[in-house]
Amino acid sequence: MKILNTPMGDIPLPCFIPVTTFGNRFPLDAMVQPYINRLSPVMMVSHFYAQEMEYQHLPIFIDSGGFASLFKGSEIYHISNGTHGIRTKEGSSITPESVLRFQE
Amino acid sequence: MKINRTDLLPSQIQLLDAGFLESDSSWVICAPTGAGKTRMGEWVLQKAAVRGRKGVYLAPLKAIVEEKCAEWGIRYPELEIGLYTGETTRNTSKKHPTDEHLLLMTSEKLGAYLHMWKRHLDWLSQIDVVVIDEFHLLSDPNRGPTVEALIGRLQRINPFIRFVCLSATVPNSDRLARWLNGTSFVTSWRPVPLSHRVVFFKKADEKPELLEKEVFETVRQEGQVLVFVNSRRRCERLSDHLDEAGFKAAYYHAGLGMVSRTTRQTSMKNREIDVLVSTSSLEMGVNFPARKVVVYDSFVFTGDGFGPLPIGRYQQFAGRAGRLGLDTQGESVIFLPRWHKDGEKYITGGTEPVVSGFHTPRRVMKEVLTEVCTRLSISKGHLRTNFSERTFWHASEGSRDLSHLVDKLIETDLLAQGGKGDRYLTQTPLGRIATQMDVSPETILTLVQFYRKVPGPSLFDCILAVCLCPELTPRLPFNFENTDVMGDMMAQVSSSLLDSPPSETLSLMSGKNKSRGLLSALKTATVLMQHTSGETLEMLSELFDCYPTDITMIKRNADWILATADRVFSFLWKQQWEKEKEATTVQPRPLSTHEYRVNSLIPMVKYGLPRQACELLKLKGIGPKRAMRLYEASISTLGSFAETPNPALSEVIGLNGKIVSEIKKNAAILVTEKAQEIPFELWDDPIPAAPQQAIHDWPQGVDPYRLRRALDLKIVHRSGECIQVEGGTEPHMIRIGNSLKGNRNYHCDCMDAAKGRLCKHTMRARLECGDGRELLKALRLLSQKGEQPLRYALADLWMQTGNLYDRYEERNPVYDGRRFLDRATASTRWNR
Repeated sequence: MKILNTPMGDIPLPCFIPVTTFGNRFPLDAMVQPYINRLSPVMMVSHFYAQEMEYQHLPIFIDSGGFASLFKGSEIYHISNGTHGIRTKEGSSITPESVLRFQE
Repeated sequence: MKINRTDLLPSQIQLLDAGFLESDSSWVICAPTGAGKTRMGEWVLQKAAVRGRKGVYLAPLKAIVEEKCAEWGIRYPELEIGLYTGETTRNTSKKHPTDEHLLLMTSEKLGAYLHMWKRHLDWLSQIDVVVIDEFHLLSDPNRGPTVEALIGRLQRINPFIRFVCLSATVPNSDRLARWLNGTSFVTSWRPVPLSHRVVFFKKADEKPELLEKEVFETVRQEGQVLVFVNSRRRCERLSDHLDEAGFKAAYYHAGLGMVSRTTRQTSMKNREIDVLVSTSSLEMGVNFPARKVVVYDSFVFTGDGFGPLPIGRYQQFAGRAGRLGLDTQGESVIFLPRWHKDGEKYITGGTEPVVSGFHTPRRVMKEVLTEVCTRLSISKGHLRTNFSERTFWHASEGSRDLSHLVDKLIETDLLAQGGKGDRYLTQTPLGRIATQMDVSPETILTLVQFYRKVPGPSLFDCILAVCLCPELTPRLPFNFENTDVMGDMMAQVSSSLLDSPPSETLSLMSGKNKSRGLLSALKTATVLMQHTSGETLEMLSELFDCYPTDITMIKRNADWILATADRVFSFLWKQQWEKEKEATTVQPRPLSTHEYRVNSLIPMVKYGLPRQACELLKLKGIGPKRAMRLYEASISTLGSFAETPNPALSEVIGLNGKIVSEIKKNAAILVTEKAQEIPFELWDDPIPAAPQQAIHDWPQGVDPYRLRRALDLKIVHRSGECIQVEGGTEPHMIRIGNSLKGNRNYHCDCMDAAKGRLCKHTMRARLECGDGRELLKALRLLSQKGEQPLRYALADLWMQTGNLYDRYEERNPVYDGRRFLDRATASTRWNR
């Protein structure tokens, strides 16, 4: 078994990593969230939903949330050197840098 | 969490050795009283707190939960402990369950939280363990289904939860543990050894003397005795008897107020009394031992008559014998008639297995409705897999088809179905009210039928409808002695239901023994109405032969059902109004008569105030006591308050002139506002009293009360010399002899016969032997039922009560008064 050390705790590998959302869109996710720390030592949340996340006592992997480009009114814009970002209808911006910053 | 094994009892060490603390699964623990069961439960609650999660302790009685809360508050000062029972949150803290480590609750309270589980998911998801005390009550038809349903719901809402179930009398703990996917632990170790003994008596009138002897033997050796009897009246009489015999005796039952009960418990603990005579109030929970326990009555009230004392309940009583540290031996004695065939079963027999409490469709229907309204099940398939298959009923007795119950709920507009092929079930507004108010479907149906059948109800009609609902407990039993007082009072009340034949009101009710239920409801309604005219609880309890605590409880439950009625009537009236308003001009919806009456009744019942005095409660600074004082001083309306001079008001309500002036200003404003309201004067006028219809030619010497009770009795043995009867407070034997003239004579062993009366047992025996011309005449008179108004039909209705008459009403020809009449008719024809 391998162990991935993070500031929020150790993750024994291999392990099951549940992917969840926050906010009001998926009620089933809201019902599962209270039990995630008993199901797994880690969880994964997309950057888009992670912004509505309350403090969790678990290591969290932040997914890029690229699917936000499929939302109505979203647009993809060029940043530099082939890097692109997503701007949603509401005006929020998702870039590789912002996702990494959030992860940190 | 460290436990010092040297301080533990052997039973606790056995449990630890079985891996209890390391385990994360459910446990069913069966250990005798005093073997440290509750401490075992405390360990897992502490463990949950150490893990940063919550532990829940459930007990059936508020008294047990409160006792544990006080005890654990001292023992675990580092933990936040919350007390959540039916009416209270903890007084000392205004915290939410989210902020507390240990939650002490009654099963009903946790059940109510689960009705709104999504709102409470934040803390329900944090529960690690639920400790259920007195787990054998799963069999109880009232409390059991609540526990069984909440276990199934918690397992779905929080799949990590585990249960630790405690009891002294669970012989089938293995089966229960399998149902919970857990482990069973059984120990027979007791800290104080217990011996059992049967004392046989020949005649029931020997029992008081035998009890004296038992008490004397123990008191002589500086011990104390706890006596269990099956009725409150007997409890008081026996205590008086022992007192007269020179013992320091006291009685204890649920009819006593909290202060009296605590005082008596303290006196017993401090050894100020020798003997405490109690009903089953001391059967469970509260730690209250004595050296000797005497089980005086071997028959108990089953809710539908008297039946033999179950062995499990005997063992609960017996468990109170032997005080840790004071006695080397506990002793339990049971009194049985000499001819009792299987008396030894109490000494050697095993207790009855715990069974599912879902015996009646009534309770299953309530839970089915809750399942759908809480969205835990949304189709018949869900109800089968999510609800039905998780019950102990399913685990022990196999699958159960719920389709017909669902159809019944749809038929009665409590559930609706929709979606493709009508697959999905949804709640209706009435179903939602039932779940939110935690009342049974029958209560909603009674209120709906009442709304439809009684268009312009009086205050009495509304309170009677509320009293017909099954949740309005405790039921005050109607005795024949109440007929006169009740008849007089009911003749003066304005009421549509009282003016209709009894069948009208009976049709609003559900369940068995409707006549008995109706009489009880009439008595309860009369008590409540009398209370609203300012009668004190003490006066009412004396007049109606009940206890003030019963009336307090009834008031509390009436408040709950009145609030439900308000919501039901409001919904029905809104529906009706929306249908009718299309044809009329648009105008605001006024209150219906039903709503108006119920809104008036809520403060009247709650504060024991007349209707007019309740108006005064609208004034800031006037509470129920001042309103009553004003009413007694003939200042009963807002108008008269506004017009009364300040000094007179100051004198009545005990406030200074400046405050009185402020209140008067407020009153003047309210009077003006009231004048602008839509006029609604439908108040009750007293109706003229009509004479009570009497039964003529009643045979002398036949007491109707005893005759009716005689029909309730069951013959268990008959020979030429004797007849044994059961079904009363205890079994009796009637010996049959012959006089010199060849006539039969009957000698019963009961106290009533000893006083020279024609007792109910003798009446039953004579009916059995076809030897009771005057009894048959009385039965013939009683069978002539007319359709007179309910207000004049009390006596007739009373005569129809009881199992046998009800069976007769339902055309069950097996056993009733008619049987004797038919036999007598046949015999006369034969002789001709």
